[in-house]
Amino acid sequence: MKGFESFVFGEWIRDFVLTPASIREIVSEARKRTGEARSMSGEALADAVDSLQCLWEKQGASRAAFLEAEPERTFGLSRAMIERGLDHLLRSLHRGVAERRAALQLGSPRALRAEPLGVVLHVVSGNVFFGPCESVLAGLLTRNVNLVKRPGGSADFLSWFFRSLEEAAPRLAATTALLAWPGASEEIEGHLAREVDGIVVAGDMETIAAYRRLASPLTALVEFGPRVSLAVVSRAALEVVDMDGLARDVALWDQLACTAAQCIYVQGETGATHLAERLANALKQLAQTLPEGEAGLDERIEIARFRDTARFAEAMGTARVFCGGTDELTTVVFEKDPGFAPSPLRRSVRVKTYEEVADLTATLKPLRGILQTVGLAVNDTERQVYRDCLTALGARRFCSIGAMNEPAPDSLHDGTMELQRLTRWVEQ
Amino acid sequence: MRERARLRAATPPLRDAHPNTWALLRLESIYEPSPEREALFVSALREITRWHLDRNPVYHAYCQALRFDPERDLQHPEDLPSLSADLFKVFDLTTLRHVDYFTVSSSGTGGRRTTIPLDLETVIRMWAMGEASFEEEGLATEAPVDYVVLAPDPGLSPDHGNAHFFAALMEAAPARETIFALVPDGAGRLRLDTEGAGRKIDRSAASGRVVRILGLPSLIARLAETFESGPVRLDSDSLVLTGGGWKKETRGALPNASFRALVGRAFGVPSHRVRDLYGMTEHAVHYLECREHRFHAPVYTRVRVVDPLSGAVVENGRDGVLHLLNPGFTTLPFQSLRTADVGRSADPCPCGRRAPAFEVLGRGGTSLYRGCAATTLERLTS
Repeated sequence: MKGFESFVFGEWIRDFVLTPASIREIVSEARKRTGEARSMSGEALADAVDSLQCLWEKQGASRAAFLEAEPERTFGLSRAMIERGLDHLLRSLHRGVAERRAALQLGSPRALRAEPLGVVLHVVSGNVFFGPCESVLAGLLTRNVNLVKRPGGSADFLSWFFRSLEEAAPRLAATTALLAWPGASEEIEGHLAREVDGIVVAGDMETIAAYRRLASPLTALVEFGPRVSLAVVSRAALEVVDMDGLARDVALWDQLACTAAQCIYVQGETGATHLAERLANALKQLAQTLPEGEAGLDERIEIARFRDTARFAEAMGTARVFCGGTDELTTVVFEKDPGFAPSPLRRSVRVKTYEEVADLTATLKPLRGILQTVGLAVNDTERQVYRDCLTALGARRFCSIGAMNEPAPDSLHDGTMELQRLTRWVEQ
Repeated sequence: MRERARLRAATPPLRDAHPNTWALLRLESIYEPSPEREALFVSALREITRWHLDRNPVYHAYCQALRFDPERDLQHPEDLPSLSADLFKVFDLTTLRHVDYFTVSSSGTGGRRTTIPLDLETVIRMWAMGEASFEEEGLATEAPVDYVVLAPDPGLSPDHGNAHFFAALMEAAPARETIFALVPDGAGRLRLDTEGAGRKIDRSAASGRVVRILGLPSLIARLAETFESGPVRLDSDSLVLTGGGWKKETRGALPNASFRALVGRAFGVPSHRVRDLYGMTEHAVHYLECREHRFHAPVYTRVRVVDPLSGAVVENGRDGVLHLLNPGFTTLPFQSLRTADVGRSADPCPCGRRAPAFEVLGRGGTSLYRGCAATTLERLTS
């Protein structure tokens, strides 16, 4: 695609145009390289990932060069937030973490061997800059040959990641390609989807549906559709809830990840309004060390809509607004209406109220199928009841307050054993 | 200049109730700002704000929460608290519940239709302002023209908002012959009758008649494409008027200049006779492009290009959202409306008008809900 550099199995090519013919060539070349990828031992893979991690973290060369080269507030995040995101990504590149992930997802008590699918296409949204790297990493750890679509928002970072992979682990880099094409190009996507053995697709419903339609029925699809997350604070936990942690649950990655709390449900109306006020203060405090990023005009329009409606509702007595000044994005709104409503993101959160767990589950019924992470602030005797009720609604992950946006590096992605999905089991 | 016919139809009690608004609407040379006209505009805003405050308990509560009093606090147009156009989708803000009114619906570009109550008074004002802008642009004429309207016949489709909008544009020149070329397809939908419209254009071109083609730009583009292999040359006074933007066009929008070039090739209509209108259901004014294809704010309105969060005016040439001020609506407190339409100031305009110029770039927002959160909103609100 014009204006972009593609990385094709070890070679950087400017303005590389994907056509049906060039796709056939790439996939054919990818197939040739599946043997090389498959032949890598677990030890060699761990070494390669370790080298990559060293390059970014221990020597700091890639990290320093990246931070030096990229302008302030790139990817719509502040510099401090980007640094924190890098830390998060690098944790998953630790040798021990890679080994634990492989053992958890690919270990078997029987004589089973996890074999790669072959050629895997990754179409991963770039709402958070390091997200696509995690998908690529899963593809590498499973010894697949990986073709990666350059996403919109995080494109520059993925180039940095591929350059460092090329430097730290050239053998592994030679089994990957970073390709660019305009979104919703059915001709290109159709050819790719029909040719590869597996597709990791993360994005909106339209994107998921498109790849379901385009892929061969024989192709393995690993789908990560739209998700929302929320936090729940019971009356019993109200006074002891970690407000700094709750602020992080809202604010990390400026709420652009699907793990971010978009609504906070609090037991009891009085407690909810009080918590909303405390949260607004905690978010203000957090912004001292992790400043807000720069929102685009469309995002500012959505936040303004959110605020306008909330202010009007406040005048009608059905909401309370706790937000920063006109130069800040952070917005906390207490709403009497208990129904879940998505946030315009960028640290905008709704605080809502419920009385009994049964009310909460009834309210959240529309989230069936899209509920991902739930941050729980409840006491020990309540915990299992909440987990059971919300699991029945499809929640994929529970965590304590403060951990929503920074899951452990060896944890599952969106309730999926991704490594397992990128392999097939062979009985020996 | 013709006396504005619609103003004569106004009901005396409301003229008396809003003397400043009526004084504004009677002004000639609507693109000539002056301090006196600015003062009159502010008075009209104050007058209409008081009107709504006294009759609309919801709006009253909102202003009370802001501690806003128009007589005390409204010294400049920007002093007036703005309301987001979306609020009218969430709250019932109707001011005149006791008088007869009818409703019109928006096209639903943002996902949901807005239904707006209108009374005769508001409609008269809208007509008067529309008439003034056509006169000022030299596009109002007494000479009959042939109309090719790419919209349904409003008599047959009374609920179709676009039908009324484009029919209203026919007030600017009497009709000799008219064809409404968006016709029922038998399955309850509308289809573009390109053959019928094409035959009409061919006949008018052959007899040297002046033609006015009205419709959504996407439909006019489709019609024009059918003429590319056999173009016609319409009379030089012919006019192509578009409104409503490119929404629902699956092929995507043509850049404005490309659209005008296409129309020029197909119908022989020069660029300065291809004009667009900008407006929205929630605002009483429709803005007509000048011959340089920029919009201008007449003296009875104010268009500010602002940052959506701070409300501060953005620099000339930079993108912001359009904040529209006008005292036209008596049925809803729309006098200070913050839209999600992205635009930019475009001063000075080569056309020489002193009235502030602006460009409209399209509807903003919604792209935020991307990645994992994308389409969640749709799912939850559908």
